[in-house]
Amino acid sequence: MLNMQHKWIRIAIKLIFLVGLLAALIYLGNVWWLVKYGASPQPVPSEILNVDQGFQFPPGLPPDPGSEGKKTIQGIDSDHDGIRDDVQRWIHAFLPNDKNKQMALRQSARYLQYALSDDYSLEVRKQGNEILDRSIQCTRKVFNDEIHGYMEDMYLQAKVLNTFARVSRYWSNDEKVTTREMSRENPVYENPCDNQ
Amino acid sequence: MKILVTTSKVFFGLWVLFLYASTTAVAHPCSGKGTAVFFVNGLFNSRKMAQQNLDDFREATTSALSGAKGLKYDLAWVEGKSKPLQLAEAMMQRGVDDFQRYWLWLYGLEKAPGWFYDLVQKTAFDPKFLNDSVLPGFDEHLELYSKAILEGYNVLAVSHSVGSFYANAALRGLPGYIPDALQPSIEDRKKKNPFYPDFKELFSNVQIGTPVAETVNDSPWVSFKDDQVLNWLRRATKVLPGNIEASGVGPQDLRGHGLMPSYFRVGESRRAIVKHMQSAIERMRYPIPFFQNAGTVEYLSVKAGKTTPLLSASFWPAHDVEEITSVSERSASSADRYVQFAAKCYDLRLGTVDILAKTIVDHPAHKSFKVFAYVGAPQSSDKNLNAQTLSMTNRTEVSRWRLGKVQVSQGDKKDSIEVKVQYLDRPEALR
Repeated sequence: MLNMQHKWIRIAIKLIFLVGLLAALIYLGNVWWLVKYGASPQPVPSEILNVDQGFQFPPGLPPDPGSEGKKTIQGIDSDHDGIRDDVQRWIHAFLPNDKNKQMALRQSARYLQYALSDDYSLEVRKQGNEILDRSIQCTRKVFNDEIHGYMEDMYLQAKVLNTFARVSRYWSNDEKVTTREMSRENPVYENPCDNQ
Repeated sequence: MKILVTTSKVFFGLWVLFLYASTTAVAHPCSGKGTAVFFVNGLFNSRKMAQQNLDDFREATTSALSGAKGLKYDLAWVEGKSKPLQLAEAMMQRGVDDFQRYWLWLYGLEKAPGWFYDLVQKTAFDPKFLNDSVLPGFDEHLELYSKAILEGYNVLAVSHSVGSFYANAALRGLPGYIPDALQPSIEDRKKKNPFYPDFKELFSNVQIGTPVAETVNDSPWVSFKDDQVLNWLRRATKVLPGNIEASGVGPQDLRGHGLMPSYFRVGESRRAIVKHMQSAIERMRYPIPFFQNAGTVEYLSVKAGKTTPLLSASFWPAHDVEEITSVSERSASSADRYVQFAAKCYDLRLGTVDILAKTIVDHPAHKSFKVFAYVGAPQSSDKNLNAQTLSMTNRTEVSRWRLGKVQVSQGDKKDSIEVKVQYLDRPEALR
């Protein structure tokens, strides 16, 4: 009887030891991963770019325009909210649980879409200053990581400017901007986010 | 006897008080405005990214530089011209269809194939492009810096990546540059006015992730040892060595080269940049504001469309045969005009400058004169807000007056000259 009890105690001790060892390994593994994170090239971030594929969208969002959405520079914006349908869907799938961040990216997307305008004359560019300033300040306000949503905004840019024609138009329009224009007073907006 | 002594002391005190009250003096109308920090971006910075970088850069450095006087931030934008587009076209020719990759590779969010880096090198770091004499839009940079210095700001250019070629070119070209406003170059200003600071005291540069072979005027730089863009450039050309041990590479930027995702994200590099900026601001002096008035006297020459009594004022340096008065006119409304007589800060030398006036009576009704006297210049275009009003009454046809004086002395560590302007409460009639 006593031997049986000792046996169970030994098994219990071994179990506790093994569980503890496992926990320690998991903990150290996490620490190692966190320390090493970013020290070497990361996997291709295709998952982020394709996050909308297979996503269960709630009703109300426009349908996926597919390859039709890439045929023109302006693309398809079926609900006329200033954001292309494919971009609108991607933003929703990318940050499904954070309405504020969705809104900030939507605002940034609107600026990028504006920067693809057919007419990018001086007057149009001047009007764009407020759109740009508000968008940048909104992203900075909503994303409070150490680089203020830089990565999220970069992924968005890749999604919006995803064809040669769009890249080409974006830089061609940018070439019209002068150094003198870029030197200007930037107002600070108390409420930069449009929330739409 | 005791009462007499006490009374005389009281009278002496009142007399001193009267003397003090009879003049108005406001110090430092010619003091420098402060420091203009220009961010000079690298290539492949769109309008959006350059503005984001400026905002981020401002936020990352403002609190550490909060002690600096009149700190303002601006952008000396490096125009990419056709370079980013050339890169996209080259990608297209290689059969790349997914242009999402263009952005991820360009900004280091995804590891790019070797051929892409070769394309970047061919387009962005083409030696012909980076030659000082052909930097696109470079004159605009000189204009921005010149304007700030003419206004009375010293300049700190913080350049990132290819922006450092522009900063080096500015350090070489700005001293002799004649701005669009057709004012003398900084070298000529120094020749004409020995109190004007040297160029090295007016313009500093801090370089970040710099691809240059050397800096100018011993400008400091901050580069990661593992900056992939610089390491890869070093295979083809001479580049300054890295001096930051910490790694700039991270999932935010696999190149370890971006301004915010690398250089301002990593503590060691961020601290080094801020420290160099603080040292530069500490070391620099302020230019004498070129267009700024030390003192201004103005009178209403046309009131409701009708001319008023004649008056002219002048600023005469003591022991000098030439006055330093500059005359201009300003409209206060459609029917009112002021004539302004001023002494520019830049024209002042050590010593005293007398502020004189001559009034002429050409009509019996015009015997009384009133002028508005300013330390510096009028603050408002339609109201004499910061003015001291001086009144005179002519006893003869032509009368001469002393209105006050400008006292110029050696300045402190930051300002070359110290200027005090004093106006008499009641102008003194001269023979």
